[in-house]
Formats: sequence, structure tokens, C-alpha cells
Amino acid sequence: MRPSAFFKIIAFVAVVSLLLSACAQPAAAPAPEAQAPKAAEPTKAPEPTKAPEPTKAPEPTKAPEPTKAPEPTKAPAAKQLVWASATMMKELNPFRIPGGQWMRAFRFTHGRLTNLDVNNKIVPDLAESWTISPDGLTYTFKLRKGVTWHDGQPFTAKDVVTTFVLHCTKDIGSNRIQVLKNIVDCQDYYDGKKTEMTGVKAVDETTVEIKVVKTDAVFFYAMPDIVIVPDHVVSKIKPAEFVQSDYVLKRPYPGTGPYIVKDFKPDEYIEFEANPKYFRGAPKIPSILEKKIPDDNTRIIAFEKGEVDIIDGFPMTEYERVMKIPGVQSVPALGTIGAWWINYHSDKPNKDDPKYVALRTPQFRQAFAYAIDKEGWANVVSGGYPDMINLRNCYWVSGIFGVGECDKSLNTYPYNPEKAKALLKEIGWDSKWELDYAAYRQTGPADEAVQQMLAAVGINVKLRGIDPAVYIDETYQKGNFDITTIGLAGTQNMIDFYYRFRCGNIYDKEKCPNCYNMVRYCNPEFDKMITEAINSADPQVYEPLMAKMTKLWNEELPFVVNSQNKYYRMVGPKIDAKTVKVGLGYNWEDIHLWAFK
Amino acid sequence: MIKYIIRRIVISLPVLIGITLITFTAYNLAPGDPISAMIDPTLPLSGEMIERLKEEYGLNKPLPIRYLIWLRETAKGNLGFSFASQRPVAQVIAERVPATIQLTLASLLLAVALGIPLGVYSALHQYSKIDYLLTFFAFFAVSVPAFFFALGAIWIFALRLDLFPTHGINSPGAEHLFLDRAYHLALPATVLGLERIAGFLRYTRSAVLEVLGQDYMTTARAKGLPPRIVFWRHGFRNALLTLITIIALSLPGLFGGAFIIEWIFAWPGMGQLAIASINARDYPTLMGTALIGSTLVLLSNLLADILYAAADPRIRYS
Repeated sequence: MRPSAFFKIIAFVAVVSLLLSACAQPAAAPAPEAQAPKAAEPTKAPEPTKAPEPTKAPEPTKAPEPTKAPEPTKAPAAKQLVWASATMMKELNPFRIPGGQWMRAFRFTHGRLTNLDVNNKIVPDLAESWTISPDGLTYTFKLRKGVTWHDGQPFTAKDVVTTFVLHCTKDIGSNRIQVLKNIVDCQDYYDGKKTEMTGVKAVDETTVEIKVVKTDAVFFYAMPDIVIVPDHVVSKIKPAEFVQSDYVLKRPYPGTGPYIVKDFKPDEYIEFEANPKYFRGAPKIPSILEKKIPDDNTRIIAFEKGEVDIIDGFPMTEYERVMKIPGVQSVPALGTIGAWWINYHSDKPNKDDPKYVALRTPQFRQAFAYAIDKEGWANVVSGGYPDMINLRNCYWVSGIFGVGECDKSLNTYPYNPEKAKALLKEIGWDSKWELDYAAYRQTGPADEAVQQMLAAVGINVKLRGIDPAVYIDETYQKGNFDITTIGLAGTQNMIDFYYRFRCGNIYDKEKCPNCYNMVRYCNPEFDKMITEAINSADPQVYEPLMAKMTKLWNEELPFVVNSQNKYYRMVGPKIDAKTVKVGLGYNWEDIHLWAFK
Repeated sequence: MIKYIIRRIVISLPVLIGITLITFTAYNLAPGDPISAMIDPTLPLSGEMIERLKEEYGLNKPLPIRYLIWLRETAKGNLGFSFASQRPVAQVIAERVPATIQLTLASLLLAVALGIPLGVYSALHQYSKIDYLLTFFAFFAVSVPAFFFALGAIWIFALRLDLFPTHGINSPGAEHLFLDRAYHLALPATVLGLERIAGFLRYTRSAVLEVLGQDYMTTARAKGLPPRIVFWRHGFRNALLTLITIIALSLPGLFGGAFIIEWIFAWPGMGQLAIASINARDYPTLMGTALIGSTLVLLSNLLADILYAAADPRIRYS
């Protein structure tokens, strides 16, 4: 070998590497221009750069307003709030919002008719007021006047109509279609039997009327999930092409929310800049960068170092470590309600197996509840911080969403192993029977603690974790579990949730594709009450019914409700925590009022 | 040689198809599916929606048909459509490849630049304190998992000493992109390269020790050549033959090692994409990354053979 051959190879590799490094930088840079000092850069609000050909309205006077003109140097870098999450959206489709992170992004950028405040109460958003007709079949929304889209176009009733019509368009593939099918003509329009939808109409520029087929307690509470999109932009996109349009994959632009998407790199980061014309007032924080840091430890260290200002989703066991970071502030919020779901196995061929018969009895379920030392369990779950957990014994509380204290008259099933043993004896429980305890994702110390507590009263469970990708299949569809643990999302509509647990409402691909009675619970008395509740839009009718059903469940225990995470949100020292409001889950309220110290 | 290369490439094709068949079957037979993975279990989608999505993604077709469709489309240069990203797989991967190449090449360069000289030094000073120290380092670096080094490096060099950033590929608003990239690359590339440094160090040491005992080395010394000439002209050149193979074959390993490093350092490369695709059961993207990975392995083997022949005139392929 010639002496230079090896070094030539090395030199070649070095040059290629450096060239690649140099060439690839712009593609992967998270919007470097975001912080670059561009003194005279005009505000981006009137110009939707990537939006599919928005109609440029004759912009009157205020359009070319400079955003950062007075601070040309390093000031913007200090004014960006950096938010680290374990995941990042890969697309932003307003018609298919699959979870909380997407919902938060759309809360920043878009409006909806009504919204949920930090207490999960319905509050006005783009609709400043509304009325429901006495028969509960007509909803009339009065829209705010003077609201403009980020591109300067006026927001009108036509935008609202277009939004609902698109949800009812099959090719859009809306995941809110189930509840919206109650709008007059929506189902026929979806099925292609009608070419027009009469159920939603613009009465005038600022009034929208929605007619529904039947009274429905769920319908109105679905409104905060319906992101209002601009007619002048989306009507130019073919519904079948919407899912792959720039509107979804590059930036959901324009909206009416407090922030404008400045840059979106799917699965990496999303950058927002303030909308100075936001109808509730210009946001105080000029820019927000939300980025993905998938590893929990790295995310926490980045927070500790001050590279990020807010972190989402870290293990509760790291709470102490995070709280020791100088200047860190915690903002309390309510999270998921958890429960142990106990299967009735009423659909199994061997449903008369004595073990399954025993499992169906209220005595077994009550014994389960009495067997668990919930304070001890909370201590394990929280890694020694039981204050992070709100123990509870019900799903529903007045106000429709799962916020607040349970009815005091409900049995809390205080830890009482002797009572548990007595109840098991009553039903002839055999301690040799083994139950399948299936945890979402993987089992942990908290599940092991439950296993020990149950074993102490004679209930033997075998733990196993279920991969999220097969959880729905294993539990809702096949019912392959005896006991499983899963939380209930905070923003879940309670009536809709209760409605799942009707007799025979078990998932079946052909016969019952929208049925999710995971535990195979069946009580005709319950069925009657929930049907009456869901068919009423009147709280005076459905609230007492919900309370009665909750009481019934408190005795029968189709699931043993255990807790609600408090979900402390960790906020870095730069932010004025007093301005930060956090609702349930991803419900970050009034982002425009947040401020740096 | 050209004929040899062409023949090797042709032979590689059925191997590649075999690999894709096995990976496609394994991915698809694993429990779960992309639709289930994208459903929030606390708020399941309607069954109608699930069926509609399955139809939309072609998941309602039998597995062999799905594989044949994938193969046909791949042959046409179409790697399919990512379920999770709602974009063509080729586009999703293309965005991630540069970051991974930067990371792997930087770590390879580091490993070569440090591992080989240290290996030579270690061999030339056999049984010295430095040799023992380097041997200890090599075994330590090979034995300790990369994620441990990664977290330790972040904690020490990013948090405690504040020398490097904890994560990411660049700083928002960075003015000197090249320097900023190097600044972000330092920790992940070093951590990824550690195992290679150790490997190259050990291989170099043993290769050098082997040639040092050869007869031609004794002859060279007997001719009165200066020790420097003896080693660099007669010893090191021959030791390099082994190293060329090792370096070429280390490429797929580096590529695979980048998976966990990218995850920990939030480095937006193919590794992070592959892990996210596994969690999402995004089969098309997974197949795309598997295809690239297996192609890289085959190419690395070929590259090793070619470089071997280029380096050693005695070796001729026909």
C-alpha cells in the first residue's frame, strides 16, 4: 500500500463530512432567523407566507407594522419562551386533533366558538354569547365583532359555517364527526346523499344558527374541540387533499388566536410569534418555541440549566429533583383521573366460570376497593410526594367535567383488609384463582404495591404491561384482561363517557364499531338513566341523573376510581408564574396574559 | 475490479430483498398497529373512523399483498407514505439523513483521529503505565453502555461545567452556523465515538504488535534503517490493512449506535425518527429506515473489500 492511500481516504472522509455539515445546516436549523436582529422586519400577521393562496384583502392602514423595530440587537433572544416536550406534532390538522399537545397548539393559534377555562367551565371565545332554544334543538351563537384572521381578513359567520360543513365532509376525515352527526343534514351530507347542509347557517355576518336532530347533552360541550378555520383559505383546498396540504403540514395559517405559527418543522419544533391584533389583547410574550426533547433526563437537565423555560411530562418521581432547581416555580393543574377497571367478562364463552361469576359481584369489587391502602398507594405512585395525588372515589361531579370534589355521601372505601376478606368470603372467593392485571405501557412499583395489598386479602394478580399500540385491541375490543389501569383524560365529556357503559355496548367491528364498554358492564337501570341524560340539553335534567348514576356506580364499582394527578407544571425562573394559568391536562388558559418577570 | 463490484452489487440485491421481507413481516406481525398507536386510550376514536383509517392506509389488505405493493413501489423509488407524518417517507427520511451523517461521520473521524494514534502509542509502549491506562480505558468504554456516557456527559459537561449545550442541533438565532453546529455536535459525537475509539485503539494495538514481530521488520532493522522509517514505512502500512476493514465495517454499527444517542441528545436524525416510528407503528417509515440501514451494511462490506484491495496490491478480485 502506498503510504498516502490511507491518509487520502481519511482526508476524503473529513472533507465530505465537513461539506455535509456545512450544506445541511439551514435545513435543520430551528428558524435561526427567529432571533436574528432584523430591525425593520414587518410583522408577519398580514402575510401568510405558506398558506394556500389566501385572498389578500385590501389591507388598510395598520398592516406594515414593524414587530421588533425598537429592539434590533439581542433583546428578542431574551423574550422567547422555550417549551420542551417529549413529543412533537407531525402535522397540524384542525379536523383531526388527536390529543392534548395538538389542542394546545391550536389554542395558541386558533379560536373556537366557546372555550374551557382553567376550571373547565364553558366560556365565550369567538362567540360572545349563545342561546339554546327551549326544545334544545337550535343553538344560536352571536359572534364577536371586529375579529380578524392573522392575514387581516375579517372573521365572519361564514367561517363558522365552512368549519362545520367541512367536519361533515367525508373526505376531510374529521375525528369529531361522531358528535357532529347530530347536526341536521350532517349525516346525509357525509354519506353523499345531500349536497347541501341546512343544519348550520349564517343568519347574518355575526350570527350562526346550528340545528340538531335530537337534544344531546354532549353536543354543546364538544364546541371547545371545534377549531374554527378561515373560509377564505380552506375553501380553496380540495377536502380529499386537505390532509396533505401545506395548511396541515407546514403551518395552520391563518388563525384568530393569540399566536401565529412562524415556523413548524414536524416532529422537531414549532415556533409561534405574538399576534399583536389578538382580540383579547396582544400577548405579552413575543415568541414561543416549543421543541421536542424526547428523553426525560435530558429535558430535566435542559430545564435545570435554563435552556428551556417550561417542561412537559416528566416522571413524578423526579419531582423533588426538579423542585430543587433554583428559581423553579410550580403551577398546579389537574390531570388524568385514574381507576382500576374490573372486567365483567359478560361476553366470554366461559362467562359462567366461577371466577368470572365472582368477579361480576359488587362484593368482589368492594373487597378490591377496601383492600387497597390508597394513601400508601399514592405515596408509591408519586415517589414519596402523595400531595401530588388527589385521591377520589368518583368520576362525575357537578359541572359535567371531572373537576371538583366528589359527592360527600359516596363511599370512599377506606382501607379495611378485614372487611375485604369478609366480602370475599361471602362470595366464596378462592385465593388460588389468579387474575390478569394489565397495566397501560408497563407495570411499575405502584402496580406491585397493589399486587401485594390484594394478595394480603387473598386476591392473587399476575402483572403484565400492555404496549400502547395494542391496548385498544386487547382491552376495548377483545376484553382480554381481568383488571386494567388507565386514566381518563381530564377534558373527557362525562355524559359521553358514561354513555359508553350501556348493556351490549361492546366494540364489534361489524355490529358495534363505536362501542367502548371496556368492562362489559350492564345494568338496565343505568341504561335508562344515561339515555335520558344524553337526550337532554338541560342541566336540570341531566345533572341529577348523573349524580344518581354516580351513586349507583359507587356501589357496583364497574371501576374503582382512585385518583386525579395534580400535574404540577414546572415553570422556569424567567417567567412570572402569577400570570400562568393551567387548566386540566393541556388546557393552558390565557396564554396572551403570560409574562416574563 | 469493476466486474467484481458489479457482481457484488447484483448479488446484494436478493440479499436486500430477503432482508426487507423479513423486516416487513416482523414489523407487521408485531402486536399493535398504527391506528391503535395513534389512538388516545382515554378517548378512543369511533370504530368507523378506525376502519376508515385502515382503508386509507391500506392496512386492510393481506400482508403478502402489502409487501408486494411496498416492493413494487420501492423499486420505482417510492418508499411509501408515512402514517404518522402524513408525508412521503422519502421526504421524511431525506430531512433526517444529513443530521445522522454529520453525527456518524464526526464520531468516525474522532474515533480514527484518536483511536489509531493511541493504539500505535500503546503498542510501541507495550506494558507501560500508559499502555495499561489505555487498555483500561478501552475496556471501560466498550463495556459501559452509550446511554450512560451520554447522560453523564450531559450532566458534567453541559450542566456542571457549562461547556456545551444539553441537546439539540443548533441554537436559535445562531449567527455562525458552522461553529454552532460543531458546538452542538461535540458531546453527541464524542459519546457515539467513544466505543469506536476504544475499538480502533485495541485493533491498532494488536495489529501493530503483530507486524512488529514479523521477519521483514527484523530485516528492515538489520538493514540499518532508522526506527521511524522501519515503523512507518514497513510496520504501520501493513497494520493498516486490518484497520481499513474494521473502519469500513464499523459504519453500520455507528449508524445503529446513533439511534440512542440521537434520542438522548434530541438530535433530529434518523435514529430518533426510527424510535418514534417504532412507537407509532409507522411501518412505511420503519421500512424506509430498515432499507437504508441494510443497504449501508451491504455497502460497508463491499467498501471494506474494495479498500482492502486498494491498500494491498497482492489482493486482486476477479
